[in-house]
Amino acid sequence: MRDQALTPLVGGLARPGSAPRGLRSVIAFSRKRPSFLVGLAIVAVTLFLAVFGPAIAPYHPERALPGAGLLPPSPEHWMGTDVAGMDIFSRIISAPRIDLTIALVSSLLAFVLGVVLGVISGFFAGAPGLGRFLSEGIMRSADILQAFPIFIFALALVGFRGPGVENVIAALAFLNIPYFLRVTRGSVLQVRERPFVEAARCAGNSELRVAFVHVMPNALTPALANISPGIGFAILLTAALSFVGAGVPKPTPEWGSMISIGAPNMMTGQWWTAFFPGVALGVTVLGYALVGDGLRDYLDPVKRS
Amino acid sequence: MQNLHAAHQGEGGTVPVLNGVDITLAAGETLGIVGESGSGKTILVRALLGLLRPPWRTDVGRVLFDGQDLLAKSEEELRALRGRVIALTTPEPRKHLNPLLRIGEQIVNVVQAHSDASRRAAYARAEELLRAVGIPDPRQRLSSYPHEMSGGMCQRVIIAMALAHSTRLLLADEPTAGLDVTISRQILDLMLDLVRDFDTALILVSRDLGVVAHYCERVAVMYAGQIVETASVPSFFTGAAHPYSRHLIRAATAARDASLVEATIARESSARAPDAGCAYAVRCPVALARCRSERPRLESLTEGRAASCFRKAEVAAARVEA
Amino acid sequence: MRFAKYTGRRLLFLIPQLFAVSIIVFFLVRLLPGDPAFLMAGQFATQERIEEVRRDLGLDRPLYEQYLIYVGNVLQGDFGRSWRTSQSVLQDVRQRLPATLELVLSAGLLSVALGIPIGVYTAVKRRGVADKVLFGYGMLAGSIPDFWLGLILIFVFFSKLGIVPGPIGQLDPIVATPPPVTGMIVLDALIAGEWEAFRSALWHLLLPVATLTLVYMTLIIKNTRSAVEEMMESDFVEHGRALGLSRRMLLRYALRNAMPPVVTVIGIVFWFLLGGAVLVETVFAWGGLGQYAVEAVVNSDYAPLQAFVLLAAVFTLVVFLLVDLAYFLIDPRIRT
Repeated sequence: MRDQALTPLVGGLARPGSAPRGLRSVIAFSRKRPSFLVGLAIVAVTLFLAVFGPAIAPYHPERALPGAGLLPPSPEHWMGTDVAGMDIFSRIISAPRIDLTIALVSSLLAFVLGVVLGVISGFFAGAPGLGRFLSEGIMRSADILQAFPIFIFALALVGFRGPGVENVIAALAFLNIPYFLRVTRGSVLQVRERPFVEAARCAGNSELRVAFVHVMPNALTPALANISPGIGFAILLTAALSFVGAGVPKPTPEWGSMISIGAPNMMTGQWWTAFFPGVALGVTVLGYALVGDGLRDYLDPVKRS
Repeated sequence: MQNLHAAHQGEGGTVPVLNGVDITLAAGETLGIVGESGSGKTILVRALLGLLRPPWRTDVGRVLFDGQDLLAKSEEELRALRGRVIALTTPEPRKHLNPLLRIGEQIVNVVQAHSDASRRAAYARAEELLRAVGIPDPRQRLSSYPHEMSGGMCQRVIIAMALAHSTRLLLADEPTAGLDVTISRQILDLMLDLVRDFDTALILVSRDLGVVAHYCERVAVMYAGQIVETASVPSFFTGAAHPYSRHLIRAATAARDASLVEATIARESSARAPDAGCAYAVRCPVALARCRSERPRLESLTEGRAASCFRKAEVAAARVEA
Repeated sequence: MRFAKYTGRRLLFLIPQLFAVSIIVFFLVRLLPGDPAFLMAGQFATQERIEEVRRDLGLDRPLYEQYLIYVGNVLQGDFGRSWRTSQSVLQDVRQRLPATLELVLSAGLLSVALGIPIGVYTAVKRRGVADKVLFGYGMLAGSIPDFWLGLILIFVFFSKLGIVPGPIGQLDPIVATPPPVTGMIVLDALIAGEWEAFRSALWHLLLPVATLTLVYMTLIIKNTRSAVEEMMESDFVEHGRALGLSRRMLLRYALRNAMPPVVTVIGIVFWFLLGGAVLVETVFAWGGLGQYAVEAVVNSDYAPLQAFVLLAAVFTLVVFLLVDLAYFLIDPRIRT
């Protein structure tokens, strides 16, 4: 997952261009790539839990059961209880709601803003006048933002704005913009050399129109392929922020904060308190990464011979 | 080379590239191989040295050198031969030099690969080689990097590396690709001088018939992965025996400009050998019905001449308009 | 261009970068809702203290003057005071920086020392079990949270197996801290020849470093492997093969030419390690800057947080500078 973050930096992203259409080709692809199917299954489960999780949980995810603290896994409590007596399994399946909400909203925002900025930056790169200034400005800003390790900057953003879900979303959205920006820019730089772009210009379209109506749709592929890993990354960041207490506030079930609650118990031997949330995190992020991998390969025209 | 086949096995299927190549070369002889882009010339040269690795397959055919089949040898045995007994140049000299190492060091590595020379002796030899290939100020140039040199100079370095040992066979794969006319001339003159000095056999692969005419004793024409004609240069140009050869000669003589000739040859689509019949039948002006179903073999026409065409005698004597 | 000249130019370029970073950090604090002076001074501050902060920050002045005051302060080493520790932030940082450096440098060096050979090995010996295992490990390592892995390791190796000491910081409480030379306890103990302290510090370092290495080493392995593989199939290596160079020599060529991308990845790993260190320090009660920053966030202690972010960015810029310098030494094409 972290090396997905590296992918736009080091190379190997999906090429812009036509993607194979049709459900049939997706199915054929999936058959060759079992990992992709596994990833899809995981993503589907998390989406399902995000919607129905709290409803199907055996216990109320935020209700502490006094006297039932730190019970090991058993038939009544499949994953045991934490120190406050809350059923861990119920909290685990209720957590996707908040985690996915944050991850999806922030990723969507980052995607939209990143793509738009990437199109501007790529399309007007090297052009005379205002466009070039904008393009360079955007790139320089993205570069400087890179000087801050992502988690640390997220910590700072949330630290200075205050905890709470909206602030986490804003911080994550902001931090993921460069990710989509770079990928889209690279793609736009290639697409804008194509003949049809020149044709669109000759047809009398304004530069902006050419950029957004003609170039952008064809340059979206790499960014699309990176949405899924981006979501996984956002989930990890949310968990990390919640773990240190700068993310989702305590009683709300969230995997990261569950780990933080369970950490002291872990050391005294009650392993189930922090173990299961971590597994849930790992599996989920892995699932989104696999989907991202699969999508990237699927959309890469070179692979299809 | 006898009946040499090579195919590329990719995800889309197996693509045959060499479809039965037959060539014979005597010691010290210069042979020019002409063909259009995609005819398989570079693959041929690489196959000869046993350089092709999966996904390439060379399971049919033999390459006999001094009576031994090179394709049957192990990688280690081949390594001892490569660069020492048989050497290779490349059409893209700069790409084939290590960009991060100095020229001197790269030549020294080739020298030391096949000799016990000390580092100092190897460097001396490297300087000598650079001088022999006409690079000015050779001692300075030993410390240069490839990106600091022109295309022509890079090609000279490649040639220097190829001739580091007393090679008996030099495979010159389009040595003048991408170089301008004056430089090309110099490079070719240089190569021929060196080859003559050391009595090395030379296979000169080119798209330019004029070059082959000027510098080679014999010529072999390649089409769709096969050799379709071999002849001595004089007899080739007085009466070529294969319709494709005639086509090439016409194209070469019609245009004054060598680059136009190359462009003409290159523009023609790279042909694949069909399952049955002569590969050239589709384009051949004198094709018979037989040509589409039976594949002609490379057969002797007269002493030292062979062509794979059922009507070779007629074509050679210009009794038909081929 | 000579190396000295390039270094000079690159250092010069560092200056606008530092300025840009400082501007961003400056504006970060301005994100605070409410009166900055009140917030920076802390919840328990007296009215006097608040006024003092207000003057220090120049809050009655126009914005650009505030920025200049801020920069001036920073250049003199004045990062404000932490109302929690009642010390100047500079003092707090001085006490804690070596611990973080020790962690990040150890984990980084270990990741490189292990990651590169493994990456090279898998590039040379393709296919096989090693490949699949590594792929699985790579995907897994990239998906699990590093702080969680730290807890798991503590559970297994401390709680259950009792091999390593517990997560209570850098030393056993009964062992005396060696005389501070570098501030990094392992090194200081080594220098002073205090073997008791050295052993203890090393044992305590083991698990946190293992956590970070296990998670981030995979980046190095993957990228080394793909760089070496790519070089092994490059045109010039093929030509070397055509000229009869030995396998060893060809491998040397491939490794030598794979160095530039690998150097870049090492820089990126250090970038990741800094973020990871914050979390790992929290899990292991390491007493470094990361833990300090987390405490600052949780307790709304803003001056330390601001300083930490600035330092993190400076650290990253320095790392990227070093990578650029290394690149210059490795790749002659840059020198023209």
